[in-house]
Amino acid sequence: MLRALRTLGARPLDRPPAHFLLLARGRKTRHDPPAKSKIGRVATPPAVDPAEFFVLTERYRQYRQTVRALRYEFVTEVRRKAHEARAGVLAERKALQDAAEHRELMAWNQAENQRLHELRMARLRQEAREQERRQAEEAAREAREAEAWAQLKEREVLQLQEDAKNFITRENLEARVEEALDSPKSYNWAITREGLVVKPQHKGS
Amino acid sequence: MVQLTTVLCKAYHGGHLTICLALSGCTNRPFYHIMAAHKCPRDGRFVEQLGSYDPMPNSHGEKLVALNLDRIQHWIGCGAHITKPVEELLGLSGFFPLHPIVITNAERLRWKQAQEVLLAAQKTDTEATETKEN
Repeated sequence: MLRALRTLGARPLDRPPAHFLLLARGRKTRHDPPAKSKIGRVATPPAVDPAEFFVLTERYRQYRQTVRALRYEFVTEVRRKAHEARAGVLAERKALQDAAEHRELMAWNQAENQRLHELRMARLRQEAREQERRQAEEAAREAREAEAWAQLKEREVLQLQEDAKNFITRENLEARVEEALDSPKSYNWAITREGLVVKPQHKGS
Repeated sequence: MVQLTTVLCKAYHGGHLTICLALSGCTNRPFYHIMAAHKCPRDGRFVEQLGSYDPMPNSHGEKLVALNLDRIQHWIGCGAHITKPVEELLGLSGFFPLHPIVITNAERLRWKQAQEVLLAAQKTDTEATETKEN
């Protein structure tokens, strides 16, 4: 619509003024029937000025020629750029640089892996040594404990043997009973809750 | 003046890509973006924006047009068609040769203005002769 409005200024003087058409524009849709006053109307296109027509065709021919040449130039430019991006000198140099960079990075990665491997092996060896030391200490401790336990048990056995000499057996039962009865030791005492010993003082039995 | 647009525009819009104007803005305030688009609605999906055109003159009386000539050249190289308004804008900017319609409209306007001046001069001459006779 704006394109048509732009060409309004260039219409010839015999056409009706523009503002009447503007008021009526857009009132009817394409499905509305034409008005009764327009029954015999034949739309005649505006007259052609032969000189202007010739000049216009000539101008169009030259314009199209120039635009075709420009378009061809642009197309060749785009194709050249695509070709250079794919297989040009810069692309090859970039590919070589990328390959060299890749090799450098791989070598650096290899060196890093080697270094970390060395560190890891050293750490593992250290850990193995630590483990061995701890195991030796454990073993020594266990040995000491076992020895102490054996010595304790031995002492207990000897003590028991010593005590067994004073046990009351069937043979010296009579002798021991006589000895206990004859001893002056008295078991006839009590103890209070506070821990005071209470002995009978010649009061009752 | 024969309507040449319908005959000549049949060759347009046969390709895949078009450089066209997309209208935006609000009521009584149009503003155009120059877009590279496929056969989509006027304000729909587009490939790239290549510039803008403000049809309302600013405070200095200028109508501002922005054109990304590098990308326009690239898309024309990829085989884009161009609509008539964009061709006219490119012609006025100097990137393309001046469009024949622009030249013809300017010539017609000048001819009309010259005719008006001639009519005004003739009218003043007739009035002068009438007063002289009286």
